[in-house]
Amino acid sequence: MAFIKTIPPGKATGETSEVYKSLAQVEGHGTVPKIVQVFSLKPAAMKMMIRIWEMAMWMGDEPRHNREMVAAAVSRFNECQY
Amino acid sequence: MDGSAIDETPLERELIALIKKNFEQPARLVPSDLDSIREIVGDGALDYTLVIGLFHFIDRIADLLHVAPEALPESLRRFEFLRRLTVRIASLIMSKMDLKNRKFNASYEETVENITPLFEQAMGRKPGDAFAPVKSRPKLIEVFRFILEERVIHTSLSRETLANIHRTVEDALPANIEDVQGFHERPENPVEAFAFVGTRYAYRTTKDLIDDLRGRNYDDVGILDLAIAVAVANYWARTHRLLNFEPELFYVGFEDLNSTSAMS
Repeated sequence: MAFIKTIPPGKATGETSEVYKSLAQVEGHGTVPKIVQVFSLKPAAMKMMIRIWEMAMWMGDEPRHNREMVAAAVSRFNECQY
Repeated sequence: MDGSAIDETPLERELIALIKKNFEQPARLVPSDLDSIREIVGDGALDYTLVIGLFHFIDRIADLLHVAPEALPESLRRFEFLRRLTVRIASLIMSKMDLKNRKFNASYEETVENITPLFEQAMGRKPGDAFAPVKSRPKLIEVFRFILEERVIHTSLSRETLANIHRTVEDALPANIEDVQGFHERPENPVEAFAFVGTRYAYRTTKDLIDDLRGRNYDDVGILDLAIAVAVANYWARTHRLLNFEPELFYVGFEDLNSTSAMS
């Protein structure tokens, strides 16, 4: 359980709900990762995080599998369980 | 992870070396650390700096705020069947994602023009050629606009608190492996302690650290803003060194930073 309050998709209203909906359109499903939900008290930051993720992992010519390898290696070094 | 896999490609070897330095010695990162990757993929090296920086950001948010893993709990990962099932489910979900339609087609000139009002508000001057190091990758300027917008417009933190966090992150930035593995005296100030742990070893964040912040009247939004500030500063600490940006483009009160050794 996160150290701060988060708003799950089923209870979200207003701008937070709108960001969840736009994420669902992008992803093709309604699952909202917990790392996104942790920003739910600040929808502007949640939008920022989603957009940066898109640009880092999807936009550009470098192969997706290389980017995933880099992401996994960074998290491995950081000992981040998430 | 130690760069000794027999079937690794030259690019993978160089990427792992860069990732390792970003972890162990970010205080010593320099633009020439990208040279060997540039020799293989040209300015694609810039794309990889964004992935590395993003995951230093995400990992810190996850650990500072104790976000539970999406994947199988560690205790269940020893069951091969469950592991394979989890991977298949994740693959199925990922396969439904098609972000190739999410283009970023703005030119360098358009992106600089777009950031100019916010930049002037933050810096009191025009960007000029501040972003020239990433001219071939305007999306990196757009990412900078997002983090600057968070710092200037959206955060609930005072300018003094942001300056304190930026100074603490720069001072705590690891210069060798002992800095990220050992035990070190933490600052007494709860905000500085949060930034110190978040920079050196965010996975060691405890509820006591969070309770200390609540004792200083930080509510949930305030703690989220502190975590964002620490995580973004860790992104910037690596990015400005690798991409040869002026550190003060993002840092608040950078002129007061006295960590000359960390900047070398």
